[in-house]
Amino acid sequence: MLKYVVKRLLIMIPIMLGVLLIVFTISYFTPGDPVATMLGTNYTEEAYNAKIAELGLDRPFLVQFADYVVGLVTRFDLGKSYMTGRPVSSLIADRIWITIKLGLLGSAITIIFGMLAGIVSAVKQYSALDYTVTTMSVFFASMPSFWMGLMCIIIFSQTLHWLPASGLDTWKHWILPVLCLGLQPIAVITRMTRSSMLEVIRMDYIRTARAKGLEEKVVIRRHALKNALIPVITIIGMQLSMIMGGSVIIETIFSFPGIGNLMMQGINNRDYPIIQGTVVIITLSVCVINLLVDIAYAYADPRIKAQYTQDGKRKQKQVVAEPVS
Amino acid sequence: MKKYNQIIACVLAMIMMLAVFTGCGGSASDSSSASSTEPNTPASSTAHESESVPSSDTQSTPAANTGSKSVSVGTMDLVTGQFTAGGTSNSPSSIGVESVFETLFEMDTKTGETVPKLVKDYEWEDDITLRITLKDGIYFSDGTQMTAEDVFFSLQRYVSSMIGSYYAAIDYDKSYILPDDPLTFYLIYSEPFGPGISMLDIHVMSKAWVEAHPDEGADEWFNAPVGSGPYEVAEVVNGSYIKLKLREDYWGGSDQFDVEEFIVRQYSDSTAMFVDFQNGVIDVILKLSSADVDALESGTVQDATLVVQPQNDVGLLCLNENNEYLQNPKVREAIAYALDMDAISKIGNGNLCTEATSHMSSTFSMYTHHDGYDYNPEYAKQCLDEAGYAPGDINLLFVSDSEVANVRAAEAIQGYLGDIGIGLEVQSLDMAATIQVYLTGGSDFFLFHVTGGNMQREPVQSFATLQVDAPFPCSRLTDDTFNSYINAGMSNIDEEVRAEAYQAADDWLYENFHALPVCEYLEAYAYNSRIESMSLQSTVRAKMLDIKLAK
Repeated sequence: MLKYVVKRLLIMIPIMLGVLLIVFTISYFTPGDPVATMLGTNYTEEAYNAKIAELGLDRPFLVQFADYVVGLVTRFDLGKSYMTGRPVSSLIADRIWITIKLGLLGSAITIIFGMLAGIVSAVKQYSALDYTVTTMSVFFASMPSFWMGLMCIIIFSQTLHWLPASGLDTWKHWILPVLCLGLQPIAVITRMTRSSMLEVIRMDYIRTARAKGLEEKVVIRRHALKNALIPVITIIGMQLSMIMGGSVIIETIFSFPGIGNLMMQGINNRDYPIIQGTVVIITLSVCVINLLVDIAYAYADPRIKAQYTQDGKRKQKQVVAEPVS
Repeated sequence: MKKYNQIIACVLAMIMMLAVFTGCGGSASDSSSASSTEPNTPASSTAHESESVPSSDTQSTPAANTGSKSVSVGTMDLVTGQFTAGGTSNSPSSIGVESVFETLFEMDTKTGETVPKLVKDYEWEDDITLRITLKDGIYFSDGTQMTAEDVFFSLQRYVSSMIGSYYAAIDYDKSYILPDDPLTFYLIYSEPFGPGISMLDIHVMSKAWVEAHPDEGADEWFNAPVGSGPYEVAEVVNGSYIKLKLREDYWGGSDQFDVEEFIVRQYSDSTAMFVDFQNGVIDVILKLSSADVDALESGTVQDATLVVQPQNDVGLLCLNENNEYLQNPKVREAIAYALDMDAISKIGNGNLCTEATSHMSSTFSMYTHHDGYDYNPEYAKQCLDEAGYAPGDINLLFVSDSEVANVRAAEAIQGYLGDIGIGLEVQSLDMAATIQVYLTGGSDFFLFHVTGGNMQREPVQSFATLQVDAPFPCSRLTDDTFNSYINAGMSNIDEEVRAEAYQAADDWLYENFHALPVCEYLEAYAYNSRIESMSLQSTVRAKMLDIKLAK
C-alpha cells in the first residue's frame, strides 16, 4: 500500500509539470501585454522597455519557463506578482488557509448531507420524502453557483438581513459561501448515492441479512452502505475537485480573500506569475484529492486492498521460487 | 405511475423556468438606466448631493458603530499593495496612499484650484526655473523631518515608474537644493513646461526609509510604510481590508480630523458591496454604478447621501487616421453627424454622464463652450455621398474593452452608423488584449478617457492620446497644426497663452471632425447618516480627509 502511495506521489510530478507547461504556454501566447496594462495609456518607450527587462519578459519562452521551473523546484519560488511586486508564494500563503477552510467546510457538508439525503431517499423510495429530495437535487444540480450566490445575497442579506453578504469576521460570514459551494455537489452526490443504494438494496445478501433478523438500520449501515460506496467515492472525488475550482466564483461573489479571488485578479490584470502559481496550487490539491480517493477505495473495499498487498506477496514468492543454478 | 411521472416532470419544468426568469432579472448593480439626476453646475464644480427619499417599503440603514470614530469604506479597487510614490499599478487603493503620503500640491475640493500642500511658497523665476520652499516642521511618521532631498528622491521615482513623460521634463542634473537651506530647491526644466505645477501633486516618500529598505517586495512596503500623512497603516489583511489609524503626532495637528480610524474593505462583487452599504456594514461606498445611483435615488436606502460629481473628463471617440476612409474629412463629418451622442452616452453610462460641449471638461479653467454636432442622419448621408461613397462601401472595426458601458456604447455606434450605410464590426476583448490591439493600431475607433478622471484638470492629459507621440496609433494625430497647438499649451507657463493654445486645439478638432466628444463623465459615491458631510477630490484618488462625523 505504501509503495502504491509513493508511486502515486511520484506520478504527480510529471502531471504538475505538464499542467505548468500548458498554463505557461497559454499565458505566453494569449493576446494582451501585461506591461502595457500596468503602465496605462501614457508612458514613455524607455519606461516600457525598462519594465519589460525588469520582469524578464524579453527572454525567450523556454528560458523563462526553465527559470520558473528551476525556481519552483529548488526554492519553491513562484515568482513575483507583476502588479504588486510581492512574492507569489507569500500572496498564496496569506490566502490559502481561507480557501482550504472553505473547501473543507464545503466538502464536509457535501459528503454528510449528500450521502444522508441519498440514503434516506433510497430507503424511502417512492415516498413524498424521496420525491422532494429528488426534485431538490435536480434543482440544485442545475443551478450555476454564481447565480446561487447572488440570489442568496439578495434574499438572505439584502431582504431578510439574516446573514452578511461578504467578509469573514464571524461564523455567520461563512454560511452562505459554504452553502453555495456545497449545494451543487450535494445534489450530484445525493443522486449517485440513491442510485447506488437502490442497486445494492435489491441484492440477495441484503435479503439474507434481513432474513437473519437484523435491524433495518444495521442492514443499511453495515451491509448496504459499504457496498454502495465505491461509485459514490468516485463521484465524491470528482466533486471535491470541482469544489476547489468552484471556489474561484464563490470567493469572487462573497469577496473572500482566498486563492480563487487571487486567481481572478491575476487573470484580469494579466499577472502571469499569479495565474501560474494559483494553478500549481489548485492542480496539486486536485492530485492530492484523487490520491486520497484512491486510498479511500482500499479501505472501503477489502478486495481492492488485498489486490495491493497480494501483488506484493506474489512478487516475493516469485523471487523465492526461482531455482538456484 | 405514469401519471405521477408526468406530474413530476411538469412541476420540475415549472421550477426550472421560474429559476431562469428569476435569474435573468439581474441584480441591483447590473442593469443601467437613465435617470433624472441633475448633474452639478459645471461652472461651480461643486458636487450635487441628494437625500434619498424614504418610502414605506425601504430598508432602513442601521447606523453601524454609532458613537465610534471609525469609518468603513467599501471599494472595488485593490486595497492592499505596495505603498510607493509614483506607482499606480503596484499601489493599493488610493485611500491608503492618499492617507499615508502627502503631496507637494493638491486640488482644493471646493474651488477646484491647485493649491500648495507641503509647499510654503513657490515661484517661476524664469520660464524653466521653479523655486519651491517646503514648509518647516513636516515630519514623517518615523520622526524624521522632510527636506528637499526627499522631494527630489520621490520625483525621480516617478520618472522611473511609468508616467515618466511629465517628470522627465525636469533636468535633474541641473536642478539643485540650496546648500544653506535644506527646505528650498530649484527645479530646472529642459524647456518651459506649462503643466509644471498641476503635475507636482506627487507623493513624497522618505529617502532615508527607502534606502534602509531596498527590497521593495518586503513586508514593510506593504504593511508599515512611512509617510508624512495624517494616517498610518494599523492592520493589513491581504485581499480583504486595510486599517488606517490617525497619527497623534501628525505634524499638521490631528485635532482637525474627526475620523480616528478607516477600515477600507475590498470587494470583488458590486452586489455584495451595495448590500453591505444597505446593511450598514460600510459607511461609505465608492464608485457607484449607474444602477446603484438609480437605486439610491429611488430611496432603497434610507438616510444615505448620494454625491454625484464631475470626473473632470470627456469621453472622446478617436478615429484612426491611418484608415483610408477615415482620412477623408467628409467621411469623418458624416460619422460626426450620424451619431446621437446624447443617446449613446445614456446607453453606455446611464445617468453618470452629461452632454460634452468641448474636448475639455467643463470644470477646466481653460474650457470653452462648443455647440457640437447635431444628430442629423440625413446630412450625414449627404456627406458620405459627397465623399463619393455609397451605403455599404465602408466597413470599419471597433475593438472595445469588455467594460459593459463601453461595449454598449460601441454597439449603439454600430447601430447609428448602420443607419447611414457604414458597416461597423464591434469586437469586445478584455483590457489587456484590447490594449494590445490599440498598440498595433488594429482598431478604427478608440473610445478614450483618462483612466480615473483628470484630477489635475490639466488639458495635456485630455489630449495625451491624440498627440503625435502617443502610444496608440489608432488615436494619435500627426497633423502639424494640431500638434503645434498642443506643444504651445505644454511649453508655456503663461496661463493665458496656454488657454489660447488649448482652445485652438479644441477648435481644430471640432473643425476637422477628429476625436468626437461623446459625453462628460460623472462619478458617484454615497455615505450613510454616521457622516455629517464629506467631500472627495475624486473617487479614484480618494483623499478621505474632509469628513465630518455626525454628532
